[in-house]
Amino acid sequence: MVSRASRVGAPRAAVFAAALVALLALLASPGVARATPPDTYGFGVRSTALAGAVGADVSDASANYHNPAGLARDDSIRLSISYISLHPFLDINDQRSSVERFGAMQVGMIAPVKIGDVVTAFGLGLVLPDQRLARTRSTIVTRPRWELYDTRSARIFLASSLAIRPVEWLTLGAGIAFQAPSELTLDIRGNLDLGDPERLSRLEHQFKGDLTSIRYPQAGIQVRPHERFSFGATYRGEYTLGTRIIALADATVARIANLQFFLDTLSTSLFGPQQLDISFAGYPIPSLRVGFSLTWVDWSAHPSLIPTEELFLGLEPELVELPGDIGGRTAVPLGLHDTFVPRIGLEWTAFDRPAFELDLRAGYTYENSPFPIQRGETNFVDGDRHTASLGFGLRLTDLEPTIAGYIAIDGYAYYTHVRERTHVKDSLVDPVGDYTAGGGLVGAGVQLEVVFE
Amino acid sequence: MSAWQRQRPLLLVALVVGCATLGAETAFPDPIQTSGVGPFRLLDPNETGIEGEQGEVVVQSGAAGGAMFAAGSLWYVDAERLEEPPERDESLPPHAIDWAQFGPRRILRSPEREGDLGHDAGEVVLEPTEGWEGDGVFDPWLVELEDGSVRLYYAAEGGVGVAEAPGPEGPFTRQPGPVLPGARGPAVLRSEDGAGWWMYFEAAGEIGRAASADGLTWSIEEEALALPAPEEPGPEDPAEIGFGRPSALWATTPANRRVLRLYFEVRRDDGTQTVEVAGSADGASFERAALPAYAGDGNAGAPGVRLLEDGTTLLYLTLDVGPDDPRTRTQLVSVAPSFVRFAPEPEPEPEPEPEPE
Repeated sequence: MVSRASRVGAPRAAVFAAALVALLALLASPGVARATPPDTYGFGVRSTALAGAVGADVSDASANYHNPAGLARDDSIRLSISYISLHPFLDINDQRSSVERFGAMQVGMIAPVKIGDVVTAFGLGLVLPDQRLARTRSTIVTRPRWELYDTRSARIFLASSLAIRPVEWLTLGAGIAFQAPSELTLDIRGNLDLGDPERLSRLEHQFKGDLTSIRYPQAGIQVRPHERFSFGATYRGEYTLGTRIIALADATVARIANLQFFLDTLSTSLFGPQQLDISFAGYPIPSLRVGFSLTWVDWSAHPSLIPTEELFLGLEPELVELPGDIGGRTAVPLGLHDTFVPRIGLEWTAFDRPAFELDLRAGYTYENSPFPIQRGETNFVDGDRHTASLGFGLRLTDLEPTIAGYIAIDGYAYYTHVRERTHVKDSLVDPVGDYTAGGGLVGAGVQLEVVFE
Repeated sequence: MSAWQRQRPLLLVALVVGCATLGAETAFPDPIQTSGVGPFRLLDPNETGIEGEQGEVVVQSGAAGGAMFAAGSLWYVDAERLEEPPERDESLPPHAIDWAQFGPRRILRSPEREGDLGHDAGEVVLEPTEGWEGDGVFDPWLVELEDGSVRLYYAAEGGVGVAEAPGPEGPFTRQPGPVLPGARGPAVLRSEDGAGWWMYFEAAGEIGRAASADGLTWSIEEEALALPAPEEPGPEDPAEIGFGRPSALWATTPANRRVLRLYFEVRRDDGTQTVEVAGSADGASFERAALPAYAGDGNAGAPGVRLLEDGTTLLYLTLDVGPDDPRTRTQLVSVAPSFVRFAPEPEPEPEPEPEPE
């Protein structure tokens, strides 16, 4: 499926492209990068079936994640809606871990505008997880955790992008995505009567929650020097979602002493590392598409997931001896390393008839775990992952005059094998001890896409 | 086509999108622990089947001197309180048993029961009869041999002795004299290479290690193992003045690593004591855990470790029950990981009805 492109005068297009890139750079505030459900489970049914090796020639709504430049690759209006469901079966010491199923609705849109010979396009991508829009769980250091599957995916993903195709062989795109950190404050003040707390205590509390948005950029380029092959590059910035909880208690105890308690805990609930994806797609024969990509993921920049806590407990006058070792804790370095993720995707047009077209797809991804063997006090158990996927795409093309375009129905199924990993602790008296962790996931998704050409 | 028919697909999509976020809370990741370092939790009466104190594993009328589990039975010490006991030795710490107020210490055996982890009162298997034993036999440690016979190591006034029997039911026949004079608290297990035997023992406030080829003739290899706390105590913290009552086993971790776990008493100069745990790969050099194995109230002592097939660790220990209780200490059982349960949690007691004013 080689996409069509139009020709345009180069000088005017270059100025337009430069202005677009400058605008997007301004929009994208520093400090942030890409969304989490697509990182873990992919975005777009066709793209996921091809293992995400699509950055060089993606042109459907999954370009909102895989490469925003692909939004302007075609000049068709696209609307897509899909549903994916993934079931983990991850074990630690042969005991099933309580990692919940992940399901999500994915919605995508591309709206192109043609100004002269220049095609510009606006895209929206949305991943709406089942069960909850977002979840934050602080890390319990002594509790083994599947970090890549436990809470990272429980986030809504919203991205908007712009793209331009100034000349036939070149498309550029950039976009921003949104996430929300949180700061919560619990303030308790009043009088606490120890003798008759229910009747005489007068405590009031105030709770304040602040969910401010942060934005993070993504940008991409697609180059098509020949109609048989394309190159692409996608950059996704990094972002950190922090959760800060402040608890203040200031109470008079039995009218004779003043009790003060202060807790300030700052934790990283989610970190998206910056990524650079280099991709290639080619058609050795017209009915066969082959795609490769290699993604660098900057996991080594990952901040600690162990919260930093500051604690204060004071009693004036000191009626009773308070524990002297309340001092909070500090973050523990995680020691993650960068990863390079290879992907390969094959798509074969099995049937190409006037009324329909049927594509068969397969993909493979290998992701080595960014987490080292857990020898110390942390317990992030994720191991290397091999993912194999199969999919299909049925395109119904003979729909005029009802639809001036086509309807595509896509589906995929995949299996991820998480290699068993044995974590041997340096300490013989570690609070957790040695363990093995491994397992897998199975997933499937279907998509309906309407394309107006 | 009516407006309703045209808008019906949009309504359907909106409905599906709306329903996609109906959620339910899921549990936090499950805790695990394979190192057996605790903190141990006392079993409750539903788990022990004994309607007594939390963790009580066997009903004893006298003072509890410690217990261990082997060959399907609990081996423990009991001593009846004298009808007219002498005044308590005030030089002893409040949690320590004044054995002068009790009759001869004896070793009893109680087989495990079906359905719970408690034990019925056992039968006496060994009483002091030899001159070197003085007025009590205690600190039992049973070892099963390949042929089904057993050896019961025990402590007495003159040191560590051993009695043999064709099976755990007895009868036990003593080997002559103490096999390790001057020692107490024997904990016997196979050596690292499996060819011989090691015994961890208490002597002069230290824990030592002896070795034997046949389990009967022993030679001391180390008189005092180094078991320092991971962190230096602060200037106001009580100092550690002695170690004792070792209990040891080899455990194989999920990584197929063999670790010798040593549970022992640590006594401090303020009269308190705790049960601590240390690990070793070679049986000679140990790494001690930062926190006590049992972190509840009281002065824990006399640990006896038992490893279940699934890796769960039971720790038999004694706790003081207060100076006014004539038993001084009771025999309890605890478990690590603490989230492991052997029976449903007991129902909370209903709050009493408020009395009418």
